[in-house]
Amino acid sequence: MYNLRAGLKNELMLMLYRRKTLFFFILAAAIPILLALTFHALQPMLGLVAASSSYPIQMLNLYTIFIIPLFLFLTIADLFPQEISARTLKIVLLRPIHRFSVYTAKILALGITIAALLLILAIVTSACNAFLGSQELGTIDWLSYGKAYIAAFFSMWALSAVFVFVAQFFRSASGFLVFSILLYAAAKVTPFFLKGFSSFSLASYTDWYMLWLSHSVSAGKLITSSLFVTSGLILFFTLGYILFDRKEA
Amino acid sequence: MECIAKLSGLTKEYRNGRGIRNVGLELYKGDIYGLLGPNGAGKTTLLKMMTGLIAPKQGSVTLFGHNTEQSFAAAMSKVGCMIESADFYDYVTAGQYLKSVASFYPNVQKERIHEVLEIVGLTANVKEKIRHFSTGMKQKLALAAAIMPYPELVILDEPTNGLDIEGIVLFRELVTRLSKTEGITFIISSHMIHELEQLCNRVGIIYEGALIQEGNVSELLQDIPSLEQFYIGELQKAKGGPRIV
Repeated sequence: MYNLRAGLKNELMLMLYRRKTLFFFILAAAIPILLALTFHALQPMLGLVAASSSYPIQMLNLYTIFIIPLFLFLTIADLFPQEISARTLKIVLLRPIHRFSVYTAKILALGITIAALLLILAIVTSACNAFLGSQELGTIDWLSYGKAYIAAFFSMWALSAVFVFVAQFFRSASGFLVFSILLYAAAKVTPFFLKGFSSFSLASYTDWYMLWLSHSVSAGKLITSSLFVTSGLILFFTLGYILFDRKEA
Repeated sequence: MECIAKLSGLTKEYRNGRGIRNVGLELYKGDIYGLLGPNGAGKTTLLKMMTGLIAPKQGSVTLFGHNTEQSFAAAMSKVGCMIESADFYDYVTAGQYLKSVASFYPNVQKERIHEVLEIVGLTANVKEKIRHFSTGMKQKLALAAAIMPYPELVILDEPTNGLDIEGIVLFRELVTRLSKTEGITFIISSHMIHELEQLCNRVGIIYEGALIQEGNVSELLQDIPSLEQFYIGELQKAKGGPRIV
């Protein structure tokens, strides 16, 4: 357990030292503010509501489709292929820590950064709603929004497990980055041509949180989809580990 | 003497035909073991297997009584390493790097970071990004990381690569001092045969993946004036050619 904690602390420290991580965190906070300010400025002309009570959910849509996946691709590229090409993976592998703990620490670090991004988004969008919107904070349905954000976290984490698995086939960060963006775009477009594809693709679960906002979705559907996301996370976590364990540093 | 590392029947073959075949050796407490061999002979492969970076096809590695395949963390808890080349995360400072390494060792305190930086002469560079370091400075930093966790066994692969004369002297003095005062065991792979002759009490020669000769330096040099001549002679024997010495 100490090994895993040490590995996780190490991964988080390295993530914070990377400028691109800080850049993404600042961007995650800045985008909702900039958009809210723009809407606020246009409000007299267009009669728009600058930031309604659903602003945290509107922004969640943008983040789970574009911003968080992009952050994941960049971070996974740094955590796996970049470590191979820069030969820095051995720095950790030479420490008294099992490979399973090294791998798990990387996955947990990804989960923590996704949670941090979502937390920033929730705080910033709520603040925008309070200061620039027409609604009071008291009108926000905190429980539903909380469920939606937790669901978004799990779908993003499961998606990250898929791309961690894909990353094991690459020795170059740029190669992985290009491939993963194309793969993600393909996974997003395919359901338009192939009916039923979305049922088996974790990339189609980026808006899974919507189910948790709806009052008409049955508990059975929520449980089935939760099991799918969880099993996807476990499956790709395990497959990724099998490949990671065989890597020669 | 206490055997702290035992390598048995290590075998690994790469697609290009290189690798190591049935290599076994033992390290005893306080040894400074020099690993010699031409380029591509299998020295780095052997050290990588010893540290779990490469899984052997056959054979086993036992460090401090722990098999590396079964209980890797326990086996590596008293080991400091510098393998192949000094590679770092270039976006961190020397201090940040050592802090990240220290997080894996519960017995390493903050003060130890400054202590090892002082030992290798990098105190002034603690806040400098590693990307600005020269090759020699990186080697020194890798050496600092290797000795930081108070190891009982230090595995060094080409540790003097890129070091200036002052750095080489510092390295030699450091290894000698740590071996004598703290009883640390070293296994060093290097082409700097004169350095190894001065430092090591035991040497092994690897050629085409096999350990062709091994022994105490003082015994091996009874009839031959230098380790260099002994090494060349053994290589000639292994190649089947006439002995030069």
